[in-house]
Amino acid sequence: MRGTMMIMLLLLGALLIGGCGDNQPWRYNPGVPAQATGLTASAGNRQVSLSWTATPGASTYQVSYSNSPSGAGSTVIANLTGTSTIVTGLTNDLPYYFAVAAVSSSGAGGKSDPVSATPSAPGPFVQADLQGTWNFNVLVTGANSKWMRGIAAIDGSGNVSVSSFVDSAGGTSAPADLFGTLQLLPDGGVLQAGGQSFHGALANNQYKDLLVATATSVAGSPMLLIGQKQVPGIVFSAADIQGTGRAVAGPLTWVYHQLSAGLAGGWEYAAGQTGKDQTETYSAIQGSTSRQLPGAGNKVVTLSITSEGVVSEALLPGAAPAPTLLLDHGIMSADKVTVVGTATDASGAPVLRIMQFIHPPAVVLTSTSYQMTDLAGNYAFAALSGGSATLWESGSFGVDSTGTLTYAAFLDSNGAATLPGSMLLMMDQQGIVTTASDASYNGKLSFFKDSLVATWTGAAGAPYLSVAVKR
Amino acid sequence: MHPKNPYFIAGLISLSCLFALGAQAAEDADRYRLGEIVVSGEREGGETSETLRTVSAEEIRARGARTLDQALALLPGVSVRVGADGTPRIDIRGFRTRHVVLLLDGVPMNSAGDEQFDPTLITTENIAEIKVISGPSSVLYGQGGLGGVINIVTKKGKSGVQGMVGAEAGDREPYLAKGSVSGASERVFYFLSGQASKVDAFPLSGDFTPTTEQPGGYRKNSDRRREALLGTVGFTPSADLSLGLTVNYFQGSQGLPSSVINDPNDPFANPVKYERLDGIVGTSVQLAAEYAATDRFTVRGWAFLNQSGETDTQFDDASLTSFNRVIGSFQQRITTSIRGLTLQPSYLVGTAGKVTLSLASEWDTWRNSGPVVDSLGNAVGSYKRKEVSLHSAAAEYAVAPLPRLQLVVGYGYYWQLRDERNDGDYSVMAGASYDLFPETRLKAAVKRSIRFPSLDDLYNVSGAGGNDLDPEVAWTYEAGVEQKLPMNSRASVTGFYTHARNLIQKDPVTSVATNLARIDFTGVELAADSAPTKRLLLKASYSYLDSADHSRAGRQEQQYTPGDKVALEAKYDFDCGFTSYASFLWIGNQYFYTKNGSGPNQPVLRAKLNDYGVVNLKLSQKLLSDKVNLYVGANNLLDQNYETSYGFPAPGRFVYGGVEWRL
Repeated sequence: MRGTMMIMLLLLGALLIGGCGDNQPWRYNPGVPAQATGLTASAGNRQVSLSWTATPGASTYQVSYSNSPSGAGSTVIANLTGTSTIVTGLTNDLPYYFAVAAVSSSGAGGKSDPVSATPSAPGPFVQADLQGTWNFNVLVTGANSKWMRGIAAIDGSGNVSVSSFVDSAGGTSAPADLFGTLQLLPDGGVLQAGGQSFHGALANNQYKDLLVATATSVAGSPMLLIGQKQVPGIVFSAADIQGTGRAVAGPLTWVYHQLSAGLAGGWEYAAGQTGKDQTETYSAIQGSTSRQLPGAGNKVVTLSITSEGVVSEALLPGAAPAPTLLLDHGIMSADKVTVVGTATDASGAPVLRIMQFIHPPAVVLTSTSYQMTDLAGNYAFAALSGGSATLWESGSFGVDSTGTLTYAAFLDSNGAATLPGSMLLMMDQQGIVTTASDASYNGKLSFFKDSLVATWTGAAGAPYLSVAVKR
Repeated sequence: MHPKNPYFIAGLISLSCLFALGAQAAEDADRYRLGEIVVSGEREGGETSETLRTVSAEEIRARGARTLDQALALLPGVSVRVGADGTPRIDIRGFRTRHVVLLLDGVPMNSAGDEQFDPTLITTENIAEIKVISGPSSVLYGQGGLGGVINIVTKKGKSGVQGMVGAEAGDREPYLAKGSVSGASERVFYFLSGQASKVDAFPLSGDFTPTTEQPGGYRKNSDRRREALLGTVGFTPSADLSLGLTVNYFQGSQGLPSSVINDPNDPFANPVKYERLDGIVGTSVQLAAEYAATDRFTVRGWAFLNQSGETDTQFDDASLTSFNRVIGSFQQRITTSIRGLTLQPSYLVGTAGKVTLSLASEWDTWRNSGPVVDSLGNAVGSYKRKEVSLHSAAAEYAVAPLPRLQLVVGYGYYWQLRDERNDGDYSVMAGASYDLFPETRLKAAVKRSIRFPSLDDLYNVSGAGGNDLDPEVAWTYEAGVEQKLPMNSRASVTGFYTHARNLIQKDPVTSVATNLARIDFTGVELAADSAPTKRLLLKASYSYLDSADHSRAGRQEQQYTPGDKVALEAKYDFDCGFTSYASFLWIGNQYFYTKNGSGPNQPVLRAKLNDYGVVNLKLSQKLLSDKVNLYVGANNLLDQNYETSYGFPAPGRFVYGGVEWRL
């Protein structure tokens, strides 16, 4: 009996002591984040790019905007990861007022001070549009084939100074003839003082940050140059190269065009997707010669990006077959839908690759994302051929609303100036451009509709890569 | 320092006043003593000055303890916690599992890799008693036990043939089957036992708040399967010679439940991982011998081999179906082996005491193979094999210079031989006990303990190993009083101070194992037990532990180190064969910190785990002349929703029932 009393006392004491207090374990509560700060807005054509300072404790951000300074009738874009976004679908010449708020599990913090921006159609080119720091990638074909890349600064007068250089042969000094003083014409054309063979064009896009050019080196080799301007305030993160899962926009789909130099050079066009885990899966591949699908339909490559926008690829262990090329230093454009890079492939050939995302990671593709009216416009192009008979081609063409491409100007490195014939282009809902007159032609209109990249097999079986920028 | 709850102190004092204490005599006849490294009677030898607590087989049965951690959870100074690795870890006086030496009949069970052990692999039906030494221990145990030594002594067959079969089932526990058979003749004894158990998942408390990672009800990925066999055979060919063979085998698999918190903005939370251990298998074999060459000179020796392996897989996601796609996922097969030889001669110098020497060698091997996906998508550490050898020479002298005074001194020197360098360091221990009165014993001990870096400390497969590590060192000072009280009762109080330095931890900046930490532990342990009648048993204890972490800025105490612990037990045997048992465990004042390397600009944050109290209950009824025992029990009877590590909820109320039949 006494024992039973003892046990009852024990249980009563335990119930009293053990049952008291909160039965929920302590959990970290960050509280509502502080007011967001550092919001900047940069207007473009029917869109405005926003970026802001990261707020400690925030898990996501939400942007609100309206045409009213008071914020009345605001449209809200929620669940934004990262610290930048592009608001599209705006009306040109109408002022918009933007604010951002940091959000945590405890709720949304205060909105930032509002900033305003008025989107507008792009204006004419001025010399100052060339001013800035540029990443450049160059492919040289022919007997002295190689790739070159680096960083160059262009001042307000068009003077170019190369601060960083490397080529596929390991050289670290830029050729003296690579860049001279550059002149930007009102129509976007770019010429080089003393370089009669230099023909370039600046894209009439939001940042005027894409420059394409052809030239002939001192040794007589044709080359294609792609320049990408570094835009202040644009910061890159892993979110720019990740798929967003089914709940948002799905995997990040892409295509790339590339040209390899050397006598056995060829073009290559591939399509694939990148998942939330930044691994790539190829879905299709074509080339001037037959190719194996890297990874055989499985994840094969991991994609990485630095905050400066340098993109690199690494092979997943055990993945096979491996791609013949892994980008180790691609440059992402400021609009974050294009990556340009040079590298050496498995056979030792120098390669220039241009990769384009079908859509930005968090943007859901719709049936109106790409329309034939987006393809219409006037373009300046720069093209390069590989193989045994190499040359560059430069000029301009127009595409009408039916997709008919008609050349307006043409010049190649051999001096030929006869205009090529017209061709009818077709475009699908992902911006993939084809033509019934040439089964080898594979093109892609960029998401922001400012450039058209294509590869095909030309006369005498020569592989071609072309980049055309809208004027 | 942290505030103590005066409510508990008052409650404890009032409860403890109700108790008197009685001695529990140990019976050697059913204990396999041949494998014990230190053997002495209760009232003689070096163990009299140590803080030695025993858990008997009867206490294990009364508590319903199935595994080692359940058997020890109520002991003063012992803390059991489950963290991100899903395995209960036994800490003693603040020192972590890797600082506790675990011996099973003298065979070291610590992993050769990280020197930790999984107490759930030690099943209890074959345990005769568990001897836990907290703090200073004999130098004959070798290096490593900065916190203490857990010595498991298995059962030995008694004359005739005995046996037992039992079965148990519980909430999501489809079965637990166990059995043993033992016997002895004049020269031979044997004890064989086995256990097989399966748990599908453990229940969560009804108050648990579901998260995106863990719904309510039962814990995801918390299954556990175990099969174990233990056999001991002894042969006494003559009065002077005893031989013994012990074989232990276990196998199993288990899931490692992930943190329930999936919030990258929670600086305290562990990253969510989807991990399992499969293919767990272990075998240990020990040959032991004792030869009394003369009535003064005895030689003991043993040779052992302990091998274990497991496949550790970290999956890509909660489906637990694939790995090698997500950065950080891996599948690795880890195998370790420990081979050892010990020779222990001892000489009785009549009234001048006893000298015991120990010469021991041990070879540890650790293999780790399998791909790990790093941040660049490359596999690293595809295969690693590392070995070290440990050698020791120790001497202990125990003497009773006066009728009521016992002294012991010991000195040991240990060597670790490894690829990069050879290392050596010493350990020294001195202890005394004095029976001030027949019912009152004073005791004191001091020890310098060392622990060499483990294979994982040195050669971690992820590159976090530090090849040039020095041994860890701890000085411990303790003193106590044991008092026999009326009504078969006993009380004790022990105070201790430990200064530990060179403790190996990952540097917060480089993430490489470094001799970094300097921690001081100060504590008091009060214990009392009483058996006023042969039917009633009462136990109570209170432990206070203060830790001061001098290693890293922003930290006051060592995290996950309970400042206060109260344990109460009561058992009553009714005349009709009915037994009721209840226990209460209260843990309070436990703190934890944000992770190392959370960023140079992020200050270290400190938080407190909720204090919690857990009540266990077991009721049993003997039938058929005590041949059958039916029982039901409930662990965490009050369904307390608590954690021993942040984000890892402990099991809620678990109800079970079973039957045992003694042959």
